[in-house]
Amino acid sequence: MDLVANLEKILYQYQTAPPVQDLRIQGWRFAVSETSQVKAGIRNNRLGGVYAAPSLTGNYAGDLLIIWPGDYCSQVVVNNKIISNLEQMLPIWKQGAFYDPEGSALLDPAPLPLVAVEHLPVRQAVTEDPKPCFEILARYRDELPTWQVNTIQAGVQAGWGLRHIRTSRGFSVTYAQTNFSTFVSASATVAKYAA
Amino acid sequence: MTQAIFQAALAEAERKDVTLIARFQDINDVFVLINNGKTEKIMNDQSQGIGVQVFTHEGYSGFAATDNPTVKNVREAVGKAVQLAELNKYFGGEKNTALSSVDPLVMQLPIPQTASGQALSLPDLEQAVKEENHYALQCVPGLSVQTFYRQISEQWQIIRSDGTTASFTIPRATLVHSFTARGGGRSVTLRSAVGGKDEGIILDLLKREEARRRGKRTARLAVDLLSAPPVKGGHYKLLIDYALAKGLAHEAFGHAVESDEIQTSILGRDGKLAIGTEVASPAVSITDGPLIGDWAYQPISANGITRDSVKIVDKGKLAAGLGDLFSAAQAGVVQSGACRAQSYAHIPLPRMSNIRIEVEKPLPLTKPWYEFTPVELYRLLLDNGLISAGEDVYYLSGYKGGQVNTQYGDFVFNCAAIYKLGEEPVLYQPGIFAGSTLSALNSIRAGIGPLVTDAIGTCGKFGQGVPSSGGSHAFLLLEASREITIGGE
Repeated sequence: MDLVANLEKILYQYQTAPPVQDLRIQGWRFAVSETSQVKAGIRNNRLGGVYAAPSLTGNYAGDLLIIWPGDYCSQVVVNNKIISNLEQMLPIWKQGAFYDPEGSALLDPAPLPLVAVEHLPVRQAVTEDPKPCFEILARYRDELPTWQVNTIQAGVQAGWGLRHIRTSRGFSVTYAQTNFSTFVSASATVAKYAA
Repeated sequence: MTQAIFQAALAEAERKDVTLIARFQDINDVFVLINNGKTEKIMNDQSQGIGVQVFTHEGYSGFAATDNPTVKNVREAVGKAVQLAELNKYFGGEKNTALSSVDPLVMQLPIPQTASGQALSLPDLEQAVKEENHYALQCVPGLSVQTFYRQISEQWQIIRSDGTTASFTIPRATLVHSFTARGGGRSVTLRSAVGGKDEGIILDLLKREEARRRGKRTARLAVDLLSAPPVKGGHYKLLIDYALAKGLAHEAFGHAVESDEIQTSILGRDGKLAIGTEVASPAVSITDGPLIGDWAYQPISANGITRDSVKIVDKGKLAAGLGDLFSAAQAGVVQSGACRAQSYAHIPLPRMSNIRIEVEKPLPLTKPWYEFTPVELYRLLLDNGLISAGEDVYYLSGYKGGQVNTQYGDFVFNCAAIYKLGEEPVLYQPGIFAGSTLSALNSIRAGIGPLVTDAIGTCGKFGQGVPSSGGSHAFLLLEASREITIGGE
């Protein structure tokens, strides 16, 4: 089952018919991102060396707020492993709950403005063909030396993912988002041995 | 389950005709935060994942990682890593074939026992940390005290296509008090930290007592600094404590001998480490290597190679670098398994573990270092002929971060407090401690007290945070040098 759907299902279960009464949940909200990220770099003029190898990483990560009866809250980080072991984590989280009568504001379902935060070329670089990331680095490597640059450090990272926001009051939104960044550091000096 | 995932990774790598290093990591992280007696946060995080680094026969590499380590996902990860390695080749990336030059390792290290024999429950741990916070609050009335305790257990399993299977667990814990004193329109915050492998740092009576005494010393200093004037900048004879010495060794020297840094390091010559060069007095040595029970312990590298202790400087001469499999030969250093990664999702880099400066024939201390007052330190130096009466000597206490340029060998560090030593020591506001790495090493004249190696921190090389630690004798005495400056008025 999809991790987000699993998270929702278990939270609803502990809200409405908890297997252990002591773990009844009064309300909850979470914001979880499901992200893939491509990175590539240049270290000391060398593209894609073993310490700057091109990489693709994927992960789930987010925040979960649980409101227990009596205005006690647990604010926790969730990830793939924790969501997979959610029922084992609930008693631990309840042990660490804190009193916060102001912590119970949960969003109701509401119409949302449509704001595009996904850029298709970035998504394609992450999910299909990362070649554009390499092309940027190759330009740094090939063009900067013509400016009398001796040492180049550079990086490109492109990310794509889905962000899921849910509350126990029925607010539910999932949207796609991308991010992209690049940096280059060019030095015209080289280290000389000195003692 | 992990074995099935590893087998799938190996089989997929073989099918795609590449060699592979796979790293599986499982973390359990417990955190308790108490602020002025009130519990603010209790957390128990868990995470796991696998990273695979593939190498084509020609030596092009690619990397992929997933936090959902299933057979299906790891096969996909290998496929993605191969795709990236092929793009690397297409764009003229750098090749490295060193993986074929190392022998396989089969080593499963046992999981270390915890101090209490079993993990404490969260409520018990919260209570123990509350007691320490309560004690710290009583040290010096009127201070605000935030106390956190963090206990992490990292389990690693590393396999390679050559048959390597290595597993080890890194347990570590830290207790940190943050004391804030306010008065006269000023505020001073100082931290006191102890580190170790588990909750023994607060359950063991001796360790707890030491942590409390060190905390009390820090609390008093925070109050005293409220009314301290700024120091006059200049070049002075200096006494530095082991925490600052660790900063000097780690930032200004250790990074300069990591095998991936030699090409641009001040300690390199034509791309190779300048072994044999005199960099300090013949009495001074610098060693890096894992210490059992230490905050930065790591017995096996992230590439599945046992980690050796390395004497970087031996009797004043540059003797060795921190060599990783993939860059040691190029840097002209011996491969020493010096590679670490923040997590399964990071590409390992040559890193330090515990780095310490040692000086021959150190002056012994008659009591623990943290019980020495500035006037007692002054008399100790005077009585042993290390300073003369009336000589300007400044004592720099505590390390509060800094920066170093390994190309030029310049460093700038911040300390927590400065004393002008004398029969009536004068406390000054903290200032910067800046200069040239090689001048600082050459200026070391004496070690005072036993080796203290528990100065802890987090090294952030290339954005990857890994635990670091180290130290020196309790104190080091440095001669005045035009190239070492105390910043002030």
